[in-house]
Amino acid sequence: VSAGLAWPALIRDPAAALSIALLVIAVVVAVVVVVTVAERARREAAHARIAARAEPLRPLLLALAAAEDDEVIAAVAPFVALDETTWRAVAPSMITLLPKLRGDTHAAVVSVLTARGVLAKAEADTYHRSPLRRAKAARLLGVAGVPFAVPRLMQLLGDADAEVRVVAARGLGHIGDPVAADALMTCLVGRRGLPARVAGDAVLRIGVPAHPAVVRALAAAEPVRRGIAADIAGLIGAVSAAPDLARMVAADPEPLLRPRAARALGRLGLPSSGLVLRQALAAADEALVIAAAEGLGGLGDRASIDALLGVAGRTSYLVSRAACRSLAEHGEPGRAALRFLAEQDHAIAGEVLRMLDLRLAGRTRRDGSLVSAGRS
Amino acid sequence: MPGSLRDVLVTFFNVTSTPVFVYFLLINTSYLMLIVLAAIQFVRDSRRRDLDAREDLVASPLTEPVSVVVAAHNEEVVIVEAVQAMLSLRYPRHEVIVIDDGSTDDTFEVLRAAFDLLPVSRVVPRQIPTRRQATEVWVPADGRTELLVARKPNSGRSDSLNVGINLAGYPLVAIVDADSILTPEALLQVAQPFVDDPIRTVATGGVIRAVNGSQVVAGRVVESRMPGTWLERVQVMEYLRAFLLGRTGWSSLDCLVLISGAFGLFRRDVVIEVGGLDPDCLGEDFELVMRIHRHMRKARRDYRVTFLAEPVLWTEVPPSRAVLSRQRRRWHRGLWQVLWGYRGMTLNPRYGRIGLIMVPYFWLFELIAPVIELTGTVAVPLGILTGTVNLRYVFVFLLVSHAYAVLVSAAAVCVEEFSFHTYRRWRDLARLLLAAVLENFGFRQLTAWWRVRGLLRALRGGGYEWGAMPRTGFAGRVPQQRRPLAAESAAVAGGTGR
Repeated sequence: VSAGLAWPALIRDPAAALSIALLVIAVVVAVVVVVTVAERARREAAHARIAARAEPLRPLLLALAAAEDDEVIAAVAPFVALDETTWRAVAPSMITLLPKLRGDTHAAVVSVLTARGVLAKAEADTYHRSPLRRAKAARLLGVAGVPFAVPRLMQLLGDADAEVRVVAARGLGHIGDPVAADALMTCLVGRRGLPARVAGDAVLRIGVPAHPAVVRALAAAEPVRRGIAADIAGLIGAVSAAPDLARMVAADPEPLLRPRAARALGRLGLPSSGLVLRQALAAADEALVIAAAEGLGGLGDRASIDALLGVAGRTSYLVSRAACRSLAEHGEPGRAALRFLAEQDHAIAGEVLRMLDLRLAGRTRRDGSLVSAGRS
Repeated sequence: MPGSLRDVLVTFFNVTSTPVFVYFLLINTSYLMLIVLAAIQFVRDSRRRDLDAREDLVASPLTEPVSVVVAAHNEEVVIVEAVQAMLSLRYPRHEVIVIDDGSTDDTFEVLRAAFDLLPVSRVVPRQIPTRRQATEVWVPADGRTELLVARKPNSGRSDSLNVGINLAGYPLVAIVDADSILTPEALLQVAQPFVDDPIRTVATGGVIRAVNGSQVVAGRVVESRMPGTWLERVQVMEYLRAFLLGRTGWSSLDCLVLISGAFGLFRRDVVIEVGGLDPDCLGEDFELVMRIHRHMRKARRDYRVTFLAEPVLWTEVPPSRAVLSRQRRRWHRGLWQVLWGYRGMTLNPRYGRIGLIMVPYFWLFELIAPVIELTGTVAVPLGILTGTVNLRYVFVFLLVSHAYAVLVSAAAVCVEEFSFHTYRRWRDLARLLLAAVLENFGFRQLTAWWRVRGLLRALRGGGYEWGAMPRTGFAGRVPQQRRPLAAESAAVAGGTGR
């Protein structure tokens, strides 16, 4: 900068070099501003154009969404007959609508997409080299709930791209074909493994027909498979899984899975599970004790109340709270046990009892207001 | 003019001109690169928007429930609406925990009246040690609204949040500012990484935008608009460049070190493992994330800290120079506190990219930047007065440096326009572009001065008073006094881009 400054030899005249830099930057700034403004103008024009094309079809779209039984065919017809340009304007709205539809209207929209060749194209796109195209295609096939897509989506569970695998799993869950349950419970491990919760959600959507696959997964060698299988078994009420869950509670080689199995066992609510859960209350692992205490809440037997009373007196806040909350789920005998504890200055029992009272009072008020509203 | 001053200046310019030129090139180029990285990320995200699985997340019983923890101190004007908005966030299961941090106004009373609160006895576990304990716990009388209000003597935001985290009953904890506005789907969006990568994800954060000037109805931003004054508009520009694009860029490099305390979602067990928020730190949210990084790296655990550009938290930026000055001084003090506290991570390969890239970057381009800028602002006029600089060169150099800075900001506006186009009115776009230019003339220099003052104060040590912060409130609310938002302390980690 100063008169005697020694600049690198490459820049003999720094001011001139900077002037050139300034010119370049100014041009780039101008280009950026123009591009920004042009993008705004383009987007607004495009929105206006699409809105203008789609607007006349809005009543037809509403008619399609509201169509029932015999009306469906009539409601579908105008969309099948649309010219390509107009169809392109309305198709995104229809595809966006699809996951929110059920029953006849869902079937109606799927029939339009089938007739327009959208689903066939989606199936072809599942082979596209772009992972994004494959994922979008898999999603469309999934939300459309078309059974013909199941084999291809099952193949995509092993896709090289993680997102495609996730979308394929979700799609299989939407379609709900139990054929996919085993594949979903298997694809959790390895380099291309799915996030367990994604696969779990898909199996949960399949529901009761997935029981056998879930029970099989409880015996899997991989902890991740056993863990999610235990969660699902409890949530879908897979009663046949109870012996396996009991075995997991008592002796799963992965200690982290034992509380999950205990929680699942509790959700099943089988009286026969009581002994296993009560035994788990004596475990050294606090997480297992908490889960077992929570699980006993669903059983409601006298032996559980006695066991929970013992646990509620422990020093660990979390264990004690779980036991008291569980007692609160045992109806009047459980409340009596809580009152007994509260009378002995058991603060957590008092807290749970108070919350229970509030909940009951709130429910009574709500019921009362509903009755009044009904009378008026 | 004394000859000695002239000699000093000649030597000064001889020694510093090349390093300063290189520094200026590096800092602006780094901003530009972050913007490019963010743009790439936004393109990727927008193409994948169709793949969004939010509905699945809502319907799934496997979605982990969230405890939303809010610390409130003298928030009577906004607290009810804020809590209502938080309770109505779209999420399968969440609870809201409000910690009334010794408010001297009617914060608690308005909550009690609005939610029909009743006192309950509640044992508060101390998994995180706290300075003050909750003295009262209140819950809605209906027994089903998942709200809990705890009262405690004033001990600061961080300590209050620690009490809230102790009270939290769910495995994920969202820390949210009391008088900010979350978009209805924000919780779903910010929780998505915990579903996609549940093993590794330990913390996620959303973007903060300035709400000044926007239309707010019933706790929702219905139309985003640019604020009325240039001081606020320039801050909109700053938030856009630093919070949205800067953090997205760093996140895409897996180098995110800051999740705003105004809106972050954390795994509760991890926050407890690291001991919660530091009540003595002015940049407590920055400090928390740094501590998580250090803890996880030391334990050699595979983990992720992710930033998401879509869940938006709207917050109010300071409308006056006095408040802005206080805010920037505080930010810089906090930045020093955290960097000094974690100096052992600097260039330490044990901490991977965080130690080798992020921490040195913050030292070099966030902490020191205002010192260099201010030195130049003083030295160049002196050089001109004493005739020790080449006028033509200085003039062109200043123009280039400012033009480059304008380019960085204009690029940020361009990326915003292509990706989120938040400001729908043409006049707002024009104002944003103009703010990109105007911030370089006066605003930058002023903030550099404030930041240097903050740094000097930090070096001298001593306590800090947060002071009251006048707020205009959302939707034309009456002005109120309140302490600073977490969003402000979040920006301690620089990210202001200058």
